[in-house]
Amino acid sequence: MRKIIAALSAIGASVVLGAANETPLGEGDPMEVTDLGGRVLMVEGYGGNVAVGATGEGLVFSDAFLPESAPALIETAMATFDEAPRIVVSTHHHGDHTLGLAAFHEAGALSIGHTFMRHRIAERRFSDYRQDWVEPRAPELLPRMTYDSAFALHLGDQRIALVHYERAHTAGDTVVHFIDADVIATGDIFVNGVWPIIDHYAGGSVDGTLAALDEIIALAGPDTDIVPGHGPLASRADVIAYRAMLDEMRHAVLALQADGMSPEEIAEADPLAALAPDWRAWFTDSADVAAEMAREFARVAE
Amino acid sequence: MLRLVSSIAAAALFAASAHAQTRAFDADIVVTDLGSGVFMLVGRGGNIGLSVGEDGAFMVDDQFAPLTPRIEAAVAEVAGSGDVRFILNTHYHGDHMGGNEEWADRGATIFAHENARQRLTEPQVSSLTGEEEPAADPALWPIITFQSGVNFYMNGENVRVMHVPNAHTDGDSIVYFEGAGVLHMGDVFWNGLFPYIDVNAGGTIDGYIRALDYALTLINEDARIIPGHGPLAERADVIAALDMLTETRALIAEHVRAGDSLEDTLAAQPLADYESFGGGFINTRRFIELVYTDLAARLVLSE
Repeated sequence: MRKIIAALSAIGASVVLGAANETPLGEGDPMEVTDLGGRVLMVEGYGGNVAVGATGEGLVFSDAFLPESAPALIETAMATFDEAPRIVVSTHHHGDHTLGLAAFHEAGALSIGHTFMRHRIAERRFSDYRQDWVEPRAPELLPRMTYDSAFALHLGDQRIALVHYERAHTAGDTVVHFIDADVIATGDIFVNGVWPIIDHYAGGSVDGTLAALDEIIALAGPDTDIVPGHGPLASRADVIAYRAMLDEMRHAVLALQADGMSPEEIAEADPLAALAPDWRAWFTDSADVAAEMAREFARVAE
Repeated sequence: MLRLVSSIAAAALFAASAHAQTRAFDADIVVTDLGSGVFMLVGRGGNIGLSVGEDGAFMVDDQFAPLTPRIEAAVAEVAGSGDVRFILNTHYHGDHMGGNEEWADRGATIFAHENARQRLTEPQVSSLTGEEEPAADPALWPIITFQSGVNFYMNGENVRVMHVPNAHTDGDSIVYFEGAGVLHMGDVFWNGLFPYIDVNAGGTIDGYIRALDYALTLINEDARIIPGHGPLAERADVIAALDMLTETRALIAEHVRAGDSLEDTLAAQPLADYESFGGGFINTRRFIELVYTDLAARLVLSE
């Protein structure tokens, strides 16, 4: 059952029926809210997708969005379920999932992320990507609590598992599994219909992503709702197809690499575009993905 | 606490009037300031650790339900408010989590290792009496569980909660307040006392030894250690407990390997040098019985 909630116009969030947007929602765009049943919503907004579950003992959010969009996310969930924010997870450290944390802290929520996720933003570090030092984020933007391997919330009648997979999208990923509602929020380990970002600079890897996707596929059943980090609501079959495509891309890049091509030459050849012509270029495109994959494989081979 | 004590206490509780219950659990809460906003609270049951500050109070264990108002008053005394935001149960025994329902009703979020919660949800067989005890009331179950560990970043502290496997039980956590240099060890450390090894709940003497060894890698000479039972300790006390356990393990293992019966082992008085540890809940005889039971089960399997 995927009924779009109609009550949101009252608090300024308009509702769009039908499939998700062709392009990511921007700062001024209205959020889209989908009722997944089991008192869990998928909210698509500026920052990507967030799954929100009501437990009877407070709301659990799979991510925090951005400062501009976090307050409306909180208001929407509170208006729908008449519960206060209790827990906000960070599926990884990227800003579109975490920069809204201050609003959640103000609302009294406990923020939780993987140990590496917090470490990544709590310490001054040198960024190979920016070739510059990056300062720690402000304290109100850091999770108050971290975990290492696995974590479970038993709130009211809602069991929610937080599961860490090593070196997938980043080194600090968390998948949020609403067990009783049969909903899995994957963070950016799985994105639907856009070119994937595997953040090699933050410990992400193609092989780790494939392994994590296998685990997500194993957790899901035919009726499970999969909330991707970005893109429209998905099913287990969509994740299986995505996993197969990613593996095919991996082989395509490896084949060119075996022919002696450099990452730059592989980007030039753009071997992946033809494999997934429907995927949207967003943060990254097919050529970037191919080049990053080639660099990762070259590092592993060294 | 000890399952035995908790079951006796529970029996007394159900038999007695509410008034008598309160009296039976009446105890003054003695508060020791350990600096940096960290305190030790001693009442009845497992010793409590407390961190207070701008992000709210974080408490390690909550003793027995009837003590809650007194503990709340003690927290208010040092924090200005009796509200406790987070509680960590070091393990599943009733003298460490008996107040969970009261604190949850007051708005606390309660954490424990997943095996600690699991044991509360199912009947348990006492390692001392062999009697089956029913599952705990669901209102007492911790609502957030973890496997290896969690860290809290609050009140300017880095609070590290670490699971130590198969020591007192199979769901033990120790809690290190890094800034204050205070380590709460739950019942993985009894200061100057023989510990209760809950062998039916996954406790082992080898896990105790490993856990104390690990604790020593965390702390320096200035650290204060809150034991599950017994007075506030320092590093030397942990070393004394580790020495006692290591020696005990060797002495009892000798009897087990020689095929001696429990009666023969007890008659040999292998722990005569450690009589001073026998003054608490676990006397020398009980301790030998527990270690013998533990080693007899595991040495036979592994050797």
